[in-house]
Parts: sequence; C-alpha cells; structure tokens
Amino acid sequence: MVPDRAPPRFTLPAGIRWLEHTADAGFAVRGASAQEVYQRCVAALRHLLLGDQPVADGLRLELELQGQDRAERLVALLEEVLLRLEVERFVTARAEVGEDEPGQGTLYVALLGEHFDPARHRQVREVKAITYHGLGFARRPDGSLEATVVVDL
Amino acid sequence: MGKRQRGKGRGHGASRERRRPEAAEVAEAVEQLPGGGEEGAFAGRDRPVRYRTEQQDEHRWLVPRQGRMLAEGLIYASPALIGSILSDPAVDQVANVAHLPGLVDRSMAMPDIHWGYGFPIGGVAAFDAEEGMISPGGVGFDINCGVRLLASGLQEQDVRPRLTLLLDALEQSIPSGLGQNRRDFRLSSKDLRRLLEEGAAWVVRQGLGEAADLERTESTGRMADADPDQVSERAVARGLEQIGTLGSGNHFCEVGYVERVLDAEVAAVLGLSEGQVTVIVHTGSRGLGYQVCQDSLKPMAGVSRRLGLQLPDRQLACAPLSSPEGRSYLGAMNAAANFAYANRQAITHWVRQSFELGLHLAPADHRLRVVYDVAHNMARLETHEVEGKRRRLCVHRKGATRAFPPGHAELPRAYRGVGQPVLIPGDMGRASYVLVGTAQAAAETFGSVCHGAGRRLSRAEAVRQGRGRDIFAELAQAGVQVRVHGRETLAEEMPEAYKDVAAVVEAVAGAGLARIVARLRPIGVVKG
Repeated sequence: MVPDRAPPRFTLPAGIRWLEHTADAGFAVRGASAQEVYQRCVAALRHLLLGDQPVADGLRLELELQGQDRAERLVALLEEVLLRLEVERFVTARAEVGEDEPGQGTLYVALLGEHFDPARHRQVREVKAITYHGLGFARRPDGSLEATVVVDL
Repeated sequence: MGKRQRGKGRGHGASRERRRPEAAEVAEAVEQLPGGGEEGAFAGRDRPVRYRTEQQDEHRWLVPRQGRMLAEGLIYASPALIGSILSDPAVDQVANVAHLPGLVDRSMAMPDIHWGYGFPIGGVAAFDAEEGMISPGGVGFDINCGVRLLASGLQEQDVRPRLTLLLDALEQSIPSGLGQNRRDFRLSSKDLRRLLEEGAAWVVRQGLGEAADLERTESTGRMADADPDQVSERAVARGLEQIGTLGSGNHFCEVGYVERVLDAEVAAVLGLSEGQVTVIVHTGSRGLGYQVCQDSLKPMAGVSRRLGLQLPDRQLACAPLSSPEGRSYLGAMNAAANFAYANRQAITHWVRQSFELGLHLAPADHRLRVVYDVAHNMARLETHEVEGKRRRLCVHRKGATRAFPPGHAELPRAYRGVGQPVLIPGDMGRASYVLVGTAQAAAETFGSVCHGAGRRLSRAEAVRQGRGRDIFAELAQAGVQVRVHGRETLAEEMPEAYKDVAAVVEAVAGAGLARIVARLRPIGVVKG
C-alpha cells in the first residue's frame, strides 16, 4: 500500500534503554502500563531492524497471543514482528496492544505497517530470535512496569 | 574414546547493493546503533561476576561448586585471555549451566568464551542420554552454525590480482539480506522435507556438489535422527526461501590462503600447503533453525516448571531427553542441522561457480575440494568413557567444536590417522586456523575445543570504537578486501571486536586439547 503522504522518520519513544551485551543486543523498557511497555518494546525491536527509516502504518494485522505470563507473551509478540518481516515481508511501524486480564490470559495485538519495499526500506540488521535470557516483565517500586529483552543477532 | 580424568594440574580433568560505504556513512551508522534511547548498561554487565574461580594451572580455571550449583565449572584459557574472561558475565553462565540436573562431570567453557544467552558461547555440557536433559539454550538459535573449508589448486598470486572479479561473482552468487535468494533454486515443501531428512546429500543429488564433498563433511552432512514432523509450519516458512543463503551478522564467505603450515605431517593428510588459496564458509540453519529453537522454548519452560527446576536463567529451560518435549526438540534440531549442512553444501556449489564465472577457470583449474565441514552449535548423542564406564551422553556444544582424536570411528577414513579437523575462523582482518583433535580432548572435554576467536567488545562498543574510522581502508591496507551488505555490520564486526584468534588456539593447544595445523590469512571477505 502506498501512503498518501510519506511517513515521517521514526523517533524512539521515551522509556527505552539499550543494554550492553557482548554478542547480542538488548533493551529495557519502562511504561506506566503493560500496554505501554508492550508497544515500546515493539518500537525498540523495529529500531533494531530498520533504524529510523520511515514506515507507513496503513496495513493492519490483528493477532491473539497467549503465554504463561507477561514475559512469555512479550516474546510471542516480538516473535510475530520478526516472523511477519521475514516470511510475509510485512514491516511493522507500530503496535496496538490490549490485555484481557492483567498478568494472565490473552494479548490482543494489532501490528500496523506496510509491505517491505526494497526501494524505500533497508533492513539494518538481522535479528535471529527473541531470547528468554534475562527476560523480565515486572512492576517497579514506583508503580511503573519494566520489561527486559535480549535478542539474538 | 579416552578415559576421562579429574583432578588438578595439566592433563587432568578438569537490496543487493553492496557499494562501499563512505566513512561519513559509517559514522552515521555508528550514531544510529542502537541510538535514540537513554544511555545505560545491562544490569548483568554492570554487576560484578558472582562466582568465584580458582586457577588450576596455566590453562585451567575452576569454578568450584557454590550456592545451588550441582557440579563444578571449568574454563580453559591462558594468562593473556583470562583477565577479560573473568570480568564477563559468561563466568556466571558457566556456573548457571552447572545448576542443570543430570550434568555429567563439569560445565566447561573454551577460551573463546563470552556472554551468550543461557549457556555461554564457548560452552560444553554433557547429560546422560537416559536420565539427563536437553536444553535448546545449550545449542543456540543458529542450530548447526558451522564452518566449511575448501582448498583449491590455486596459489595466492593466481587470485589476488583478480580478487575484485572473484568477490563480485561471490556476491552475485551467494544471496544474503532480507528476501534475497536464488531464483534458480527454489524448494517446494516436499523438497524441503526431503532435505530435512537427507541433509547435504539431497543438495548433491540436485547437482550441487560432489559425493566426495559428503565424505569430508562431519556426519557426512546428515543427522540420521532428524524428524521433519517436529519442524513447525513457521519454521518451514522461514526455511523455504533461505537454502543457499549466507545470512548476516558474523556469517561470511572468506577467500584466503595458507599462510603457514605449522604441522607438516597433518597438513599433508588434509591436503594443505603454503600459498594455497582457500575458501571458508561460515553459516548455519538460517531462519528455519532459529524458529526450531524459538518453538521449543515455551514447551521446555513448561516442563521445567512442572519438574520444579529452579533455573537461574529462563533460557536454560530444558526437558528430559526421554520426555516427549525432549524427543520432539531433538528430532527438530537434527532436521535443522540437516538444513545447515545442506545450506553450506549449496553455497559450496556457488563458490565453485564463482571461481568459474568470475575468474574464467574450469573445475580442473581451480580444483576446489572440501577439506572439512564442522558444526559448532549442536547437541549430539555420543558415547564417552566416564570414570571407567562407557556412557551414552548428549553433548551440548554452543560455540564449541567437536574435536575427536585420531582413530575415532566417526572420522572420515582419510583423516582417521590424524584426528578430527577443527576449523577456527578468526576476525576478518587477521587469521583463521586449522587444528585437529587429540586424545586429551576426548579425556577432558568430551572431545571438544573452541569455535572461533570469540567476541571481546559488545556490538555497541565496537561501533563506538569504529567512530570516525575508515575500516574498509584499514582492512585494505592489511591486504583484505571486504564486501558487506550493511554498513552497520562492518563496524560491529571489525577485527578489534574479537579476541586474537592466535591466543585462543594457543590456549587450547597449550591445554593439550588440539594440535595446530595451519594458519590461513584472509584476502577477501563477503559478509551478509
């Protein structure tokens, strides 16, 4: 889908901290709600894959994801972003995320993006997978939530 | 196999566009990596290493049982390497592996050890095949990532003047990057299923290679216990278009030459001589293997919870080998391993084609033949002698290479007298090495040694140190032409990002785990 207007270059949202890792890459993401943390994690992964290249958000993929806990559901969400890019050439611009019950149940996700266009898009790096190493999704003393993710490069 | 030994002291158990980026573009890439967020460091790297170590001898550092460790750890290194190792969270990962039930002997790590996910990179761990565990974290996402070495009948001076043409041809022939694949080699789902069962032999049957290639490939390029039924549709979807592709990151195809023969007797058996042009292919099972690992993590985590295992890291999730989850992973992992053998076989064919098209040589002129092909991310069922008894074990090697001794029945007949060839790629600016396994390795490390140089710098730190430098020019000055798909890769993969591979192989040789046969020098590198 060709957008009416060129999308702006991507700017990382607040609350994302890059983690030093010898071989791979990671990020710690804070948010006021679980929904915000999930969405910011997608933004961090999108930045690792595509840098600040503009990506339109005219296509919408709706998904329901399950996992034992929030951390597992976060891995499932990020795995979808990777898979859709590699298999369907769907580039995620951003995600909309909702949970049915806090801390359990199903994650309702809409990935918004466009088809990969070699004329406009360049994959900055290959992310092989989302690991469980150092994986966390927990409430902080100040009431905010923080997730940590390490990806395999 | 040799008798296992324990105790202190030596000898005891212990877009296809690939133009050269300008320096300014590299600097821009530096700014973008990963960029934009708050500065900070992972708690794991900030935190001091938790586990105490004790030096045993010049090449062995023990991690004694501490806390809930069920066994000891042992790190092979040298005085020159140990400083950076002991400040890396990888030491804690050696100890973490020793928390897994059913570990036989020790959790071990090679001198190229560095921080990975779950198991350390450079880690070796064996579990009893009947009562022990299998852990996808002990194999890694890139199942059967490995190295293939080709030797030619050409000399360095035959190729260097025409190297640009050869690298052009290699770039054109071997796809890398998102969505890049060979238009003339497409697989149906049925084809892929056969490939997952048969490995490299299936590719040879399609006309991509020779029967002799299989004879010089570890396990003849086929894991017999592969079970394609355990490979998910998602993994199949990722693999369908990726056969014969290089991938990115640290994967590469490198043209070089034998700079120095260090063991003439063994080199003669392997067919290596000074000045001879060589090609190294480093890649693995691509998206199919990554997905097999990813698919296994949730069920393995479920088993670990059911068994009440208190794991220090979720990536250590594991299941008994005898459980449905364990068997399922083993079958899928072996199928992914077959994909990787087939992948390197297909690339071998295109390397030969590149010499023919790029340099206008006939096969009889380049005479490219496989010296060996060896995996460094695998879990294998093997028989080893432990405390006087022969035991069937599942040996996990994550960033570690099998190095069986002379006489082992699993070696190609031609190499049985010298031991298993071990291929150790270094960074793209310095050297790579060929080693062979020893009886000492069989006695101490389940026949295992290192797999490469091992990273020294994080990717972000490598990028920071590369800021403002023209790494292309520096490598060209050192006599190495580099083609790279993404400019970010160049900064992340620059030579200083890695340990000195010479120090790593000297450490394993010093520990008696391998003999150094030859040093190879790169002259041209194609990276994904």
